[in-house]
Amino acid sequence: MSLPFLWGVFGVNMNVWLDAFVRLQLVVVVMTVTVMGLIYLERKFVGRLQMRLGPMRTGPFGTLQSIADALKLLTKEDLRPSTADFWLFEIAPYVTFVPVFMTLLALPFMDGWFVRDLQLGLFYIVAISGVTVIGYLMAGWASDNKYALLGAVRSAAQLISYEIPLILGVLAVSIVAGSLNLNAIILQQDTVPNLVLQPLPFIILLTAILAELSRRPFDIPIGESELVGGPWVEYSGIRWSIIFALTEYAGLWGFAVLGSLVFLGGWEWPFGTRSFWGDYDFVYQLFLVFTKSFFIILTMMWISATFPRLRIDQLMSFCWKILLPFGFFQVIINGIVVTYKPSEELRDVLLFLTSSALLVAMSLAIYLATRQPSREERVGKLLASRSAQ
Amino acid sequence: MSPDEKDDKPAEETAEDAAPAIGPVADLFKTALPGVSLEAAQGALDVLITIDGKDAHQVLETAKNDEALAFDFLRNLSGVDYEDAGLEVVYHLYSYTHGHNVTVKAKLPSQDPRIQTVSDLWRAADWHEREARDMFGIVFEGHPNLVPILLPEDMLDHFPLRKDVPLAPLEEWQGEQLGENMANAGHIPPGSGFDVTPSAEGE
Amino acid sequence: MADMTTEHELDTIDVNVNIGPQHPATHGVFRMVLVIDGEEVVDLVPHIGYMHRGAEKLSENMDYRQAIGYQDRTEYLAQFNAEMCYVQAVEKLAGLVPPDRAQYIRVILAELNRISSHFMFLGAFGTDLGVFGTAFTYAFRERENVLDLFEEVTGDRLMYAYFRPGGVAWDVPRDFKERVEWVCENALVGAMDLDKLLTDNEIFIMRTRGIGILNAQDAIDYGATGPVLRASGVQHDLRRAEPYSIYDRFDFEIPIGTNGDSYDRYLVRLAEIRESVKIVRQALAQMPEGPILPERMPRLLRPAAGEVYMRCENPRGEYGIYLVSTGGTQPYRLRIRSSCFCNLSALKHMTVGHYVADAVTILGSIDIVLCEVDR
Repeated sequence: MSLPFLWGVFGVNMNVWLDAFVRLQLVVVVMTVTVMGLIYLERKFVGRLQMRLGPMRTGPFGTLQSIADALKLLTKEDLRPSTADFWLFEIAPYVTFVPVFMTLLALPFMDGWFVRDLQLGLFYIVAISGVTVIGYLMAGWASDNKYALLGAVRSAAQLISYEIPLILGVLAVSIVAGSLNLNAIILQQDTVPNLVLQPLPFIILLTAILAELSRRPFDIPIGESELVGGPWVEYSGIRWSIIFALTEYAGLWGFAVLGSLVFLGGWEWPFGTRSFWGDYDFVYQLFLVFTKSFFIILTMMWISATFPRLRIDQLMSFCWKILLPFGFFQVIINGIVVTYKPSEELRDVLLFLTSSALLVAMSLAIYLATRQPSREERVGKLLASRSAQ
Repeated sequence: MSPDEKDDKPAEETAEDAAPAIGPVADLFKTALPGVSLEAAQGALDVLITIDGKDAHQVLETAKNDEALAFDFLRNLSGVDYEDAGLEVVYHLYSYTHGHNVTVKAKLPSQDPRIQTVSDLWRAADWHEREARDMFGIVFEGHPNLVPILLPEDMLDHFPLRKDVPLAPLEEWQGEQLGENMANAGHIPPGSGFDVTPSAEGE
Repeated sequence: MADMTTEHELDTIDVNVNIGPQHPATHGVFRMVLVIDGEEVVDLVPHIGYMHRGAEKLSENMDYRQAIGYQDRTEYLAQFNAEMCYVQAVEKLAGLVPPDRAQYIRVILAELNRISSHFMFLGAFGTDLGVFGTAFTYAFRERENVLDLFEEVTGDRLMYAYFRPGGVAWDVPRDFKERVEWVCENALVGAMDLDKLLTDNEIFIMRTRGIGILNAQDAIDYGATGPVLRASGVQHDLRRAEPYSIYDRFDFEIPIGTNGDSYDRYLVRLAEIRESVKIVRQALAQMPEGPILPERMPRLLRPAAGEVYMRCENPRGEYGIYLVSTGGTQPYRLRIRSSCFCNLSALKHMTVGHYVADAVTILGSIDIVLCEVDR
């Protein structure tokens, strides 16, 4: 299916390559606008959480702030350390950004509307998003800077580690759906979204997304208070903004859309495949997808604004000792439930019960692992009660 | 609140009605160090014990280890340049166990001032002694790392706080310009009533 | 280099990492060179002196009233405490007795300054740990209230030069009592907000508990004072042990920690805000009317020849002024015993054995003001 107006303008049979090109351009335009909007949203939203207003001066209520930032970064001098490895330094930002953009190609924003419909859509997405690690390492090594190298090594460890919970999260869902094709996964959710059936993989996915994007509390690689900027410390101007603006927010949006498609029902739930407006169904489908992905985005921004940073060893042990085992258990149990092919309702109920039980178990494990002495023991008589005198 | 001496517990001696009585810490020092020549006086807040620089380490070691004195806290270590009377290294000590304090002043000659370090007694002395060397040129023998701390690493022979290194005199050139021609001062238009020459203040 | 035995022992090289002097986390121009083995700090060499501006030498060339300004600029977060120490040292030598009203004004302003300094610490400490912005804005909202009040009283937000030997420069505004009470109430609410944000947060606890332990014996040996010393368990506050000014008229507690780690240092400062509010409220209730300078004030101060070491409890520790006078109009020697200088000398002892990320946490928990360290 293609967009109705394209169909009308270019005729029914459009050259496959031209069709792909047009869709790609649409995605690029939407992504750019969304990224600028997300930057503005983060500054305003997080500003409100921090009791301040955020941008207010450029344009009405600061709405033109992102454009002003982009213009400023474009006019900055493009610096490169003279002892830096030339080609690695130049190419590293692109190696980081392009895979993130390529994940957007396999996401269906409307019923059956991708840039390309891939049978192995989910597999493609997690595989291609792993290439960004190489970009971090290239930047860190090529900058000829100890800070950058330390940051690059830390971020490589973190990104590679957290890919596994990411994969396990979506793998659990694809076992339930029986397919790696994103459209098929969505079609399976016509009555109940996967969030209800599989709450644990949703939590694992959210955490893994935060870590993959190096957002607080997992932003040790770009630790602003320590190794300022991490692997990207030597970058300036538009090259820097490719990482911190484009990659981070495009990745945020892309993964949020992925999460909303896989877990929240995408364009289908709650209305199903019923057609309200005929050819213009895509309007409400787009609206659903964007609303759900924004819900996930706002949740991640909220988490980022509240928590302190985890240290690298705490971060790694959280991944390997908590997220990974529970992800594996979930996948195994999903496999067992699906293989023994009970009826539809029984299958749904079983999936919900097992996943919730595992979620409770994981919460208990986290509680036991991070359990601190009670407030009385820690604080003693220093702050006797929480209320002001 | 009046600036009475804290240690002034015994009654004032009527023989010297001008000088206040010396606190009990001085007697503790005298009993603990019979062989060392020290002068005791009463300052505004503490007892002042003046010794020679050669005895400094011995006196301070006793001050730390003697049970009646037990000065475990080195509050401050500074140098003072008394020009003709030489240099002084002044130690301010406090005892957490007894709650008393004392000031020990070690006299040193102006030329080639050397004194034994006390950083083996209190680790706090480490940085204080480096600063005293930076500012006065006092060499602390036995110090583990006597390199410049506040001054640049290569400034080893210039000692700013010595009295023979004067500050350049402050020049009041801005005041002269203002006095001569207020209109050129920039912000005060002539005839506004504010264009007067500032009278020389008595302060 | 690669000498890999079967027990997986890698022969590694220690890396030198230079943090500072320009760095968002070093609270000023401070440089530390960490020698790290993997992620663990093996050695730490601090370099100070980037902010050395010769305050002591300059003070020798000013008269006693002009030198008050240097105290502000040395200790730019606890100015009133520094000024109070200095003017009391001069008063001891000159034999001046400030009238009661001036004493109360001094105590109120000094304690409010302690509150604002501790809020600054809370904001900066949260930022060091990565709570970027949230702790900072909460803390600075309260600090702005205090600074606005100071501007109403002295005319300046940061460099007051308001205390004089003998009293204070001018009287406080008419609505002083109401304004101070308002500031105190908001300060308590703000401290409670920060308490809720940070104290029970598991990540915050994991990052600060057990990090940078300084036991009582080492703290005394290094000359550490103030919250660093009290968090290590030593019950010592100069306002109690050697009361100066009129602190013996107030009833307040001294918060003491148990472990001497960064978490305890944070808790002690949070608790001290509450105690300072208590003192301010008692002082407001007791403050009399009256003059703010003694009747017979000499135009040009010539304190008697002598020396005094006056010490006060700064928000960071023991701030001492060692003043030597030879009877002239200018100090003969003005030595500033800086609290941060001594607290910072314990940094290596506290950091060796922890990770790189902890080095920043520990430095933040000591709460240094570089101008005071370097003078």
